[in-house]
Amino acid sequence: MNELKLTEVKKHYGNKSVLDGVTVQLQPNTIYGLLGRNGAGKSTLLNIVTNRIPATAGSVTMNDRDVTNNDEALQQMYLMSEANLYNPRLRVNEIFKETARMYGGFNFGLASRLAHEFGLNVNARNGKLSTGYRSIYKLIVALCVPADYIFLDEPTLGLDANHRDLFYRTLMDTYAERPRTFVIATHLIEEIAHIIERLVIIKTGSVLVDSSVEETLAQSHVILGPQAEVAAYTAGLNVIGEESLGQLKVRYVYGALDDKILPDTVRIDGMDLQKLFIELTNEEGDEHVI
Amino acid sequence: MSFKPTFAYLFRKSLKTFGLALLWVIFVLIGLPALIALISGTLGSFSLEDELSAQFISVPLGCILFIYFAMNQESFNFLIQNGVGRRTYWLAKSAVAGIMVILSEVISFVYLYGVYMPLKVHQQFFNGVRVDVNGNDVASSLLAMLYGKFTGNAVLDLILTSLVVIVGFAMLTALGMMIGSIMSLFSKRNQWLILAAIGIIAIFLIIMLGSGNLPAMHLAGFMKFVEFALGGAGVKSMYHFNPFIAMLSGIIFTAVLLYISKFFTLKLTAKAY
Repeated sequence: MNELKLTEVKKHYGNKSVLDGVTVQLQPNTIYGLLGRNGAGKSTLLNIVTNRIPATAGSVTMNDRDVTNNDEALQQMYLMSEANLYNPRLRVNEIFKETARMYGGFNFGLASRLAHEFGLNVNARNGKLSTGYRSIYKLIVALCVPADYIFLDEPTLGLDANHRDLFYRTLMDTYAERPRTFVIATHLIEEIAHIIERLVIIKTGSVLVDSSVEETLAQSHVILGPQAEVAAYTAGLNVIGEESLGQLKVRYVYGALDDKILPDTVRIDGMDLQKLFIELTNEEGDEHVI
Repeated sequence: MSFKPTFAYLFRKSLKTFGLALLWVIFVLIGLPALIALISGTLGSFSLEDELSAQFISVPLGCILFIYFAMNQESFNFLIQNGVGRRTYWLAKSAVAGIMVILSEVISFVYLYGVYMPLKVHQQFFNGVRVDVNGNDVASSLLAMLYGKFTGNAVLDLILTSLVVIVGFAMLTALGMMIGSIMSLFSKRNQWLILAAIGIIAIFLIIMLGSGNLPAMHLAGFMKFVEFALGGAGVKSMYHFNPFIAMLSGIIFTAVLLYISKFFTLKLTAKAY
């Protein structure tokens, strides 16, 4: 399996910095969640990785070879995004055929089955499809190309709940059948929380978190109890957020808890991914130490 | 390297576009006048012979080559989406352009000697020059008027003229590729602004040229250079220009234009519809 590595990737548009030194190594056969707030640089990063736009600095390498204009590496990747790079006049089945020619393979059986299950008219022209069905045909292409790295940028844009559920199930099925790396950039964190294995969180152009979901959640704590006790217990810990409800206080802590004795009145709970993301990427308050 | 599928994709697209464009040319230049004649009731006086000219196919083909190969975004978008890098895209596009250039000359040649000459010229000769029914000089093409008698061997001169046409088409295509690759780096809005600016400058230059305000020395120098590049330096009469010099100049220009187009093609970025 090919190894994809991003080293100190930077992207500037004039004076505006979108990515500020992103370093990530994507592991083979893993499902990633790429999270970040609007404008964090997720789409820019995916566009750079797949050579659609150049980086201002840094490198993207596959097996230690730069991917820029490197067909061998680029043929191991497919980026499905909202940006429509297919001619609006092309019919969906023509897109399937052309993709098969370019990638030297395509799972037509799966594509046909998925088109039927999603209710996609493969004879329709790309430009005539609704936003949802445009996402669907691109998802089908992404699931049927023989590439090792599949990048999905907002894959469920415009999809109703039933179609989203069908997509997640199909993704897991095809992943089980033919493991490869998926990188899913989305704002629907709750929906992907149960399928992603690793997590990359980007905040203002830099990587905030890059670890397994299990490890990340194991370090995320909700400390709940009377204000004074919670404040005393969390003193010196990496508090990433807090909420008050009357006399009760909730503090969100990311990182190891000290060996302090937990007062009877204070409770520690785990944090879900969405809450962790919100607290970590909240613009208000201090920068959090990860 | 994805050269083969990229070449196949671009070649299929080119054939389709050229075929359609040629059909449009034929429709506009023959079909439309025939239709107008039919509607106005003058079909009896409509003559196919009158509608045809020696440049009927070659000039539109030159324009199609220039415009078609100046366009980048659609093919580049599709190819970058499918894991093809800019270098392969440029190489495949250049190869397709080369084939389309040769094909264009083949079509022009077939038209000239298979359709136009038999219809128009009626095999009349005057002082060794083909003339039409009205006695006017009819070269098989504009370039035949320059190179048509260089060696004095009819077949060889025909081949040499065709080769010059191929190099000319190649230069035009490479010019299109170069301009297209530069223009593709700008947004659509800026592309229109640049085109408008070029148009205004061109009009200004034409006016200057017409009024004779352009420094005569510069113009004369330029004309001398063009004459030399066309193989006409020191040649006293038409039909005797040197096709080898023209070919060599054309090949050098084409190579320079292709190099510039490659430089800018490597800077292309995907732009969504």
